[in-house]
Amino acid sequence: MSAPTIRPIVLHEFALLRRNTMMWFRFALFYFVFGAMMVRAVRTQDWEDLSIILAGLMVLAAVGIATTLSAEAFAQEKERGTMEALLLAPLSATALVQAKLAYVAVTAMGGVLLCLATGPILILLLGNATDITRVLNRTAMVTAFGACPPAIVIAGAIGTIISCRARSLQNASAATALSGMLGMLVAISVAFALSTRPLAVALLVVIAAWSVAFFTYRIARASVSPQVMTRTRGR
Amino acid sequence: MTLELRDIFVSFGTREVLAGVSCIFESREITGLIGNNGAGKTTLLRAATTMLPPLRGDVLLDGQTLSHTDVDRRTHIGALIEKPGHYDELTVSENLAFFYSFHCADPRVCQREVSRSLERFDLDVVRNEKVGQLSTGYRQRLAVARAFHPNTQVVLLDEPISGLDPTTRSHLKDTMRSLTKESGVALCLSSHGLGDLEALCDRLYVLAGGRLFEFASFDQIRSLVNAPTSMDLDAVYVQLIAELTGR
Repeated sequence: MSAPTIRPIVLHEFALLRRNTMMWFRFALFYFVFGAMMVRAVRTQDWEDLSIILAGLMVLAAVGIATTLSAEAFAQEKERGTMEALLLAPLSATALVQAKLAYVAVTAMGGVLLCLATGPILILLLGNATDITRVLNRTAMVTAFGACPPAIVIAGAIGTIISCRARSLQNASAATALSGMLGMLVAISVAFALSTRPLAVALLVVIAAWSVAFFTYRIARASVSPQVMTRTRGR
Repeated sequence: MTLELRDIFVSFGTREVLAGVSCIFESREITGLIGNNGAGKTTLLRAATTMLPPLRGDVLLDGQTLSHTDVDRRTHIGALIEKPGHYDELTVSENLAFFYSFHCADPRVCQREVSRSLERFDLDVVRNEKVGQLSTGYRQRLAVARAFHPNTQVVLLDEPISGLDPTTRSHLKDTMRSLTKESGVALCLSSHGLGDLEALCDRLYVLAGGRLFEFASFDQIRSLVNAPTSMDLDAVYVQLIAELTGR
């Protein structure tokens, strides 16, 4: 038999997400409400550089989607009663975590790119501005491609760790929401620091962020074991 | 293929659930596993699937030690442990296809296996219905069908027929019997009553007081407790447990 891949799980997760209209509604609502609030808040400040709003939106999308989906990744399987069936499948714990994280990362990065594509229009319209370079500049790009990917991995891995150990979906969601808020603050400050620092410092920060991402991933991988799962079975 | 548990010890805190349990599940054989609630049936099945590492003892598949990390050999075990869960928002065939996709690389082969399984377990009529809308009987049949995946050689089912109506129970028993005999799998069924397993099992294990007792037939059980053939199986079971636990 050929070695099973992570593909079935990734496709399966997308099939489930496609039918989860409530989740899409939540994402869209957060995006527009939060975006409008941010624009409204800075409109009176007469800022020249509006890209920090876009950066904030992208970080919000990255960390928000990553924490929400990863918190549900294993906690929901436990509540449904499908966790044991998954652990019985011929897949290693590593493959299981990789599959779930791949799905989380692709979706969250999709959210970031969607923000990058639609955010400037939203900000320009609500901010009464016409110059696109005030929104779409180095800060926005550095956030999208420098700060968001490691932030997604860290948020996803932390969500996975919590999800594996939580006794219910509510517990997992609450705990990851808290860690998500913390992660968002860290990612925004990293993005802001990166955009104003020389390239060498920026690279060091990115390497440090990826190192943290790697270690949180390792802990997440160790969390997915039958021993942990059977200790914290869903209700 | 043969799955063997050798001298298994499992404890939860200070409570010893399995105290040196040994048993064997052989190809083309249906083995029954009975015991009271909390006797350790589910624990034994979990240990057999390698989901629960025992304190001591070995799980052997065809004579070789099996562990949870042994993914390639673990693929031959199909199991249904405790209350089965499904993806309620997906259809019956999508649910089955997801779990079968781990066992067949080619999607066309997978789809063929799904169709065959849906037919065997009488799920064809509901194949495009969402699982969340199904009755308990259909959900249970789907869970059993999931355990009989394309690579399965050993199937471990935890109370697969409890809570089902007599028609569904009878159909499920017939399907499991024919699958075991035709495809040569080793099947183990747990139950907390003798009635469910009568005329189905080739061998019977009774779990009582953390220890496992083997019986070759129902007649052997009846003779142990001096029960006439007219005696109700529930009464035989009560006497048997009392006899084995010395109460």
